[in-house]
Amino acid sequence: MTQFWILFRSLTHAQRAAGLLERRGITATIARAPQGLSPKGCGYAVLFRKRINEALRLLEENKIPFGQVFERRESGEFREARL
Amino acid sequence: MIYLDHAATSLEKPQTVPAAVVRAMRSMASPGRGGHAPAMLAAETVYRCREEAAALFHMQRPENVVFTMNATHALNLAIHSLGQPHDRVLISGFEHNSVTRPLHALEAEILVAGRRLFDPEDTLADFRRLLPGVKFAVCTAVSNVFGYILPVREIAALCRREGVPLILDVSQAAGVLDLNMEELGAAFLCMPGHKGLLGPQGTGLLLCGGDAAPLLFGGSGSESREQAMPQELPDRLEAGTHNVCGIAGLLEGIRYVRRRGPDSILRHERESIRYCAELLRGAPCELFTCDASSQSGVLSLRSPDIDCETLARRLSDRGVCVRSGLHCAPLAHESAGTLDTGTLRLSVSPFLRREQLEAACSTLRSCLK
Repeated sequence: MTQFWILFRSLTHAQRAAGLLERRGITATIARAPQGLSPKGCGYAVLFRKRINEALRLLEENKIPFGQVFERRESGEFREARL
Repeated sequence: MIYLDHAATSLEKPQTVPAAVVRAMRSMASPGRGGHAPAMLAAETVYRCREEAAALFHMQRPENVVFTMNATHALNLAIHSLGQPHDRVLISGFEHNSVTRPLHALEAEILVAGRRLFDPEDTLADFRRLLPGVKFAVCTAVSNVFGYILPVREIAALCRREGVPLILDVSQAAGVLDLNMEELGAAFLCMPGHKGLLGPQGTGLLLCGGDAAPLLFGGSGSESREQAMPQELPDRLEAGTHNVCGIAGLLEGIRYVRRRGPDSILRHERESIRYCAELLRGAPCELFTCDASSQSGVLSLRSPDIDCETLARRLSDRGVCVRSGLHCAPLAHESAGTLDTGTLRLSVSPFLRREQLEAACSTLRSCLK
């Protein structure tokens, strides 16, 4: 099953985002982003599996800055999400 | 021992505070410096503390809560963010050296508003008169020397109307006054974590209403390829390893304050000070009190005959801990006319009991003879 990775430059923003998603019933975890996905180095990601459009709308409504959104395949491959 | 120096630092704390410090020391690593369990546990604790602080001050954005070493550090950040050399700045007549010294270092032109103790109308009238044309204003919410509660909501409203950014020093107000960051519209709120918020020493908070400029530069655990500090809060202002043990303790201190409520704590401290003044009525000393609601849990006094340092030493020898001298606030003493003598300051904690006050005041009476 596809896993969504939303990137954040700040760990604190990732934490706030994960908390918001959790409160909306979207199970989310935080991980360090792969270096290959963080052009500025050392970023964070919020990981979850469903309701991507609702999740992004929530972040925008709450003015939480986020970066690129990726899909991680079962194979471990990352691809920028088509939204 | 009876501790009446809560305005300097809280000594008695909820039991959860030291327990959290020890737990953090044993189980937590550095937040944002790894994805392993001890680092993530630290990150979770630090974020919870931001959330609790944001909730206490009615802020929507926990990321605008920045950890500092103390209130002085927070005030320096705030003043550095808004100030340029030779700026014209308005301050109250009851500011601490942690405000006036950074302004002097900037060679700011300092205007002083409100020199009359326990006179909010005078303070407000001066702010109204002097605000136009200043670059920013700095105001303490409560005088650390006299417990004078300044009319900060009204001052904040004046600043909003004039478009003047306001830095509030809430060192003696945090945990005691119910302050709403969003309603105040202040540029910054600065406070220690170890006084009214009951956390450990070495902790402080800067609440940011907007952009801020870093004073320290270094690792933030984010955007590591970039040589400039990150643009976003809190990373922009938090270079270097966090004081995770302190923050873990502060989290529990703030939780206690929120459970009990600042209003309830203020009521307790105010009643304690009034009782103290009652117990000292007729004693050979000058008490700095007011009848109205303009005083918190701090009471200054002075003897016409005995130097305040001598008095404090006598009390200390008898197990009563108070603060004497100028309390790092010569401007406040100048305003109140006590610069030459200093004062003896009694300040109470949310845990102080009436019988402790009775014993302390009885000892003080005997020391005044």
